[in-house]
Amino acid sequence: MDKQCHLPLCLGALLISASAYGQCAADLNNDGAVDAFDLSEVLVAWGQSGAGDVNGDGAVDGNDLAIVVSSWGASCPVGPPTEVKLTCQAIEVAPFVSFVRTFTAGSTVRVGIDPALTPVAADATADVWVVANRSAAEWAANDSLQDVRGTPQTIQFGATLAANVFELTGGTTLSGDGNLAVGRGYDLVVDVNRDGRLGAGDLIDGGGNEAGLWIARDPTATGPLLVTSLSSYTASGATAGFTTARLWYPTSIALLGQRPLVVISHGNGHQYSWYDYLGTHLASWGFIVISHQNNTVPGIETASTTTLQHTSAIIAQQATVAGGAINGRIDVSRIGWIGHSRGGEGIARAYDRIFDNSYTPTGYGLANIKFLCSIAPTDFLGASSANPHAANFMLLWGAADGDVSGVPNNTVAWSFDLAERCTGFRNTVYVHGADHNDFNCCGTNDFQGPSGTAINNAGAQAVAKAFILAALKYHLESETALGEFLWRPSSSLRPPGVSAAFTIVKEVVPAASANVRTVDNFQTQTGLGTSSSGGAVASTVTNISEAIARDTDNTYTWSTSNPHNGSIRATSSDTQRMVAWDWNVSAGMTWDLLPALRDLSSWTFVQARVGQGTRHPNTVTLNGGASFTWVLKDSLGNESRVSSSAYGEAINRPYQRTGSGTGTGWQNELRTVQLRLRDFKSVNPLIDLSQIASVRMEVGGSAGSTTGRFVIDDLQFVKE
Amino acid sequence: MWLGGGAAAQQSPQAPQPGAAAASDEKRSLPELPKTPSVRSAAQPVVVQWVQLATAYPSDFRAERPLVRAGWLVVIRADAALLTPRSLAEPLLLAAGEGWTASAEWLQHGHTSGHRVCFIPFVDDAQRTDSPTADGTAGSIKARANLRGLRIWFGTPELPERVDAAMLTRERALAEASGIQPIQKEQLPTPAADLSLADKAELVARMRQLAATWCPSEP
Repeated sequence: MDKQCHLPLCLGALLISASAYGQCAADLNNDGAVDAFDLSEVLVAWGQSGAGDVNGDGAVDGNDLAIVVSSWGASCPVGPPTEVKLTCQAIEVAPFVSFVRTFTAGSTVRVGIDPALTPVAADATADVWVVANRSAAEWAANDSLQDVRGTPQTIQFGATLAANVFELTGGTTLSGDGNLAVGRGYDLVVDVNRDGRLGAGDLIDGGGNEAGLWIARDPTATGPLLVTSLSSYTASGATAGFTTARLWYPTSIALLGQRPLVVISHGNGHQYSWYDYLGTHLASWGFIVISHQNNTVPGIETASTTTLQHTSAIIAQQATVAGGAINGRIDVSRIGWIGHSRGGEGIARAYDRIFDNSYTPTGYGLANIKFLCSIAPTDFLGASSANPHAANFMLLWGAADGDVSGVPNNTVAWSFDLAERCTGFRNTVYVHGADHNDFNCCGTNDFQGPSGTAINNAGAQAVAKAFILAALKYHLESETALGEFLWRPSSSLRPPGVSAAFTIVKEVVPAASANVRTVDNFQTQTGLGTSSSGGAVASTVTNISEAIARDTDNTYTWSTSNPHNGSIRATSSDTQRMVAWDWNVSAGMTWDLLPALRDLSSWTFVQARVGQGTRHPNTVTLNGGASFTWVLKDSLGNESRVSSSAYGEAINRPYQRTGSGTGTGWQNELRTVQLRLRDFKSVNPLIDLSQIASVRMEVGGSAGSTTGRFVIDDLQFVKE
Repeated sequence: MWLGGGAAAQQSPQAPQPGAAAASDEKRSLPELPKTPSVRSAAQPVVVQWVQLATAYPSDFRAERPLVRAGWLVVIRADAALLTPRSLAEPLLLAAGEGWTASAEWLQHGHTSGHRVCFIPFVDDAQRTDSPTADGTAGSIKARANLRGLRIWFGTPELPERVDAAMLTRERALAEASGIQPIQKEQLPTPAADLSLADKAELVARMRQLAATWCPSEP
């Protein structure tokens, strides 16, 4: 349109202005009304640019005047835009959508707006913009919208959440190329007034520094960088006989600045040369990686020593190793240790030795170790010595491990102990069909499991590549959106290179912080009638037992005298406690919240770790996934119910492995079941999240599985 | 392409992995561990050589970490099931003669060949061997580390770094009770010429040399 407004064109503009721009675009002074003050702004700025430029075309002219006139008298929202989670997946039952942030590239992205939570006018139209991620400061400096797809998407609001779920046009083609990041971030804006700017009345997902939407590339796939490797170098100062290590680094390291260091410590009878798949993979995503000879034969103490020594050595020798290619490129403040088997316990021991001040490494300290990953670790030393303390810790373990097998009569084979001891952020990835040496190239074939369930090296290593990379990026590079790989069920978010047929059981327990509100972790107030947070607990379930999470009779055969049968998470040196109970009819467990814990209006999730009790008659009868319903009740008596299975996966049946007694089913597998609190509001808008009086876990009848036995821990509310 | 010995090689991330291609790295199944100690867990020496070190080192295979200055370098032949690597506790490799019992040190498992290279450190708990003078001279150590009544066997599964003097005494008694007999003189190989080495690093290098001969398929 011409800058000069000739009368016929002005009339035309009047006709189209209401549809082309929301009326509230004309509320130039953001006082909630389109009136003479806004008209004055246009007239004062006539012929100029900036203030008064309603349509953002760079000039204040008749077109802007036309929009003001056509919008005259409109009531408009005031204040900042509303930050609300918008990106979601569709699910089949209430609440019908699952709000998530991370999607794999090529998958369908949806936008959901719940009119019960975010008032929008039914039948009104708005524009959905997908904008390259901006920080809060960048949004403050620049509120104009530029859609990465070229043009925004116009939607028309419906009256219900189900009617307000829109597939993002072009969502499957959004790029996940974040250079060294596995994904790329975007912010979503629902431009209610359709003025092409982020302003009052608009909705934004990603208005802070974090992106609202994260499109992730496949973390099993090779990263963007070529890799240079050094098949061996000699580490000075390492134990005689264990001085050799292998190195991988990005070929373009000179252009990348300082990069995190990852150290791989192998297990007993393994070789430093058996982890090429992992070293190459991580280096292709920007990490400097070494894998070293590990002195595992004498034991864990010696293994820990070689981990400590080699970490110091590569830092000290960076000027000479590989011709100095990595000199000055190691970011010593970001170190990750990965250990397998005895090496997996060794890294926990190494961390503990620094923690205890019994070993002082050169070149780095405890604060530099940002992440530990133990793959199928042994537990020779117990809680006092093999302890990740407050480190970020991940356990990766195969359910078909025939070596560190999880047999109930040998606590050395209980890998979960190490995770349970961690007081930092911890997550576990338990993979059905993976054996001990599937996580390296060449160890013995120790597979122990049902025929046809083996996933072999390729499958297990795809899992290892995906989840270790995700965890490293999460902890060492602040790519927080990748954390969703660590806790969302596979049906909701799966690395494309990991088969959908795999059963991967994931737990996450955040470190204690102001963003975590623990209702019950069963560690204190050990009576059945009181939660660890001090609220009353009541139940109608049967055979309830709150006790140390330890199988006490050396067999997985079910016995009523061993109510925590199948729990191998606490040796005699541990104190980890859980609750276990079963049901055959409608039943449940209710946790009352103390008044100080009841305001959940600013909290994001309710979550707990839940697993089936292996070989229990009810578990055998159920013979499949189990489900339950979370029920929130506010102080006025309003209830909202959401099924645990609404989001795609049930509490899986334990791996159907035999041995260690009669029956079928290996150890108890816990998974974190996490639900958004706003989903309870979507299901019942009357529920008052600022006054939640109780949380109830219901089973049987319409609430979930008709029978079963559960093991439960860590009922928590957390903030995103 | 991979280059060893300090040369860097650029490769595509999709390049074949070296370990996966090596024939010696093929997966083998994990055999059941035989009962130990037992007659079956006795090992037969095929190479014996006395080694003296100029510089003592602390043994990682003893809880007390005593200083080691000399010992028998031995290649043993044993049931492969006993040699197979395990992440859980492996049978201790023990040796005893008249008046001494030792926790043998070793680097490679030997399951692929049936042979393991080990070093039987001479550690006298009553009189440490870290001094080259008086009773600690190499000659007198060797005299005390005689091969009379030599037994080499796999004992109770345990981490070697936890083995203490009391455990050695118990394990020796268990071995004798289980029927593990001293090796007959005619079954004992003629000891190779005594070897003088500078330190543990040289000892390790010598052990790796022997491993390359007796266990060539094991990395």
